[in-house]
Amino acid sequence: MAAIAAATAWMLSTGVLMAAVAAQEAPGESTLPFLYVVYTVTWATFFAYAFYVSRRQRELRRQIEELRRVLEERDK
Amino acid sequence: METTTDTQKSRTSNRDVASVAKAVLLVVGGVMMLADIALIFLWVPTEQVMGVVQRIFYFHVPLAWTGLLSTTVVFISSIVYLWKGQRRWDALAHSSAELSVMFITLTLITGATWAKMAWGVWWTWEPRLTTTLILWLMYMGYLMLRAYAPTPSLAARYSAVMGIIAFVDVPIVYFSVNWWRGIHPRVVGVGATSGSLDSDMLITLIFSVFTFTVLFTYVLWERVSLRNAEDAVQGMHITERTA
Amino acid sequence: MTGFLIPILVVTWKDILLELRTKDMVTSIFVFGLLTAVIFNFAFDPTPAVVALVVPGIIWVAFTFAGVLGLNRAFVLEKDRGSLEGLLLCPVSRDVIYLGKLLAIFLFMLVVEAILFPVFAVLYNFSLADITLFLIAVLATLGFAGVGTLFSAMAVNTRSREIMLPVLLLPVAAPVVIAAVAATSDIMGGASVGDVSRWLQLLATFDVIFLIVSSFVFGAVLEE
Repeated sequence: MAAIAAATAWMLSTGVLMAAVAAQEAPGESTLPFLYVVYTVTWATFFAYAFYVSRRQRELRRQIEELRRVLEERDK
Repeated sequence: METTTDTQKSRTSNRDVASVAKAVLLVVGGVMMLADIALIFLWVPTEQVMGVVQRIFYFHVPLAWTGLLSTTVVFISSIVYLWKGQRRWDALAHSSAELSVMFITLTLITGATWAKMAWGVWWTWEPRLTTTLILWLMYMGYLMLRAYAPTPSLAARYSAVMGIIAFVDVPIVYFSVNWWRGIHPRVVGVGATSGSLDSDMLITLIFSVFTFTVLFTYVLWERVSLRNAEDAVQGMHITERTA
Repeated sequence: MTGFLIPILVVTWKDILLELRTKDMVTSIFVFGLLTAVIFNFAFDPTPAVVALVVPGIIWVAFTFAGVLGLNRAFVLEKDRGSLEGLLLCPVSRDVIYLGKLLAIFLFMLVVEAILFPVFAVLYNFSLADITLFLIAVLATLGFAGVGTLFSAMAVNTRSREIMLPVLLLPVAAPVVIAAVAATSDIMGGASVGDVSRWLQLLATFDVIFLIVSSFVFGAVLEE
């Protein structure tokens, strides 16, 4: 859910920024796609990596819970 | 019993401090990121020669810088790991190497995009791009070595060796590629635009560099914590199985 | 000084004896080097102008790939027969083992190059007159073998050892290849030793730095 919210927020912000920048662009150019690619790829990579780390953290927490359960069983 | 609870308490409070610090770093990084994007897209003046697309510069340079910072961390932590043998230094080296590959990949992508925009081709064998590509290959080799090593301790030791060798090699690679490509008309380096930087551009660039450094520190910290936690759980798994 | 040198030479001599018996490394380097140079011939149209441009590259690419093949064999016997433990039991420091092994590999590569260079000269019709070529070969081979020996010792213990060695070695040894090709190209183009001195210095610097670094870290590689 947080991911979807983040993606939407980012899409909107990108749109606004590109519009702002396009206003400053000299007429006849269309090099904006390149800037868009750079911006998108950079933040997408960051978020992807952060997502990857958080996914592994969740898996780790699951393992810890499982271990805790096993130890409790044994202590009984 | 008392002492165990005390150590547990101090360990918990250390963890709490770390969590708070990480959260603070994340918030600061997030705010800086928003500010940086505002600066890059809304504030800094458009460069005359290349137009709006020159703004790639404010991504490319900080990414390259952070990549280099990351490889330095790999270098130093590799040395300390070989010297002291403590796992957490290996965790730092490993995490930093992953981030190095990420940042160098982004540097290559933004560099190639710049090349396409400035010179019309996606790739040229100009010194900086070539050196970056070789760097990428070296740190991919680092990650491959970790993956293919037979045991975790060999993985740690071997990759520490690679972490040291790769970093030492970087200046030599840079010089050799520069001299090799120096015969041909030197294409304007990615760093230079139309001459010296206007002060607004310099401010934006420096702020960008700081922003990316803060974000790098945060992600590195999270990754190292994850690695250390996984190592601890692995240890517990092993004791659980043998118990 | 001799106390340090003699153990190294003993390790080297052991490897030379082994090699004389099996001829393993030398044959693989020689055959593969020759094959590469021959295959390259099909990669382009061998007019004199084109040949002059690409020959330095062909020579050093051939030696690079052949060198990788040879280095792949460097620690295989030790690994498969478990003789590495025997070496480790000897009362010598780890860098002695490294230097001894390196010297042996370096000599094998040099021997093959000494045979292949004239063969290439005949196949591609260039002159070997300039002794600087020998200097380039010695410096380049030393650097390549220097890091190659270290990486070979690591690679032999990994899964997919034949892939691991070139993946590690080639990017790191890139300056050696660049310098060797550039210097060879200049010499064949009529330059003098002085003209290529910066390439020779680069090679020498690479050699010294990595010999020292590798000597230090080799111990970490050998431990179980």
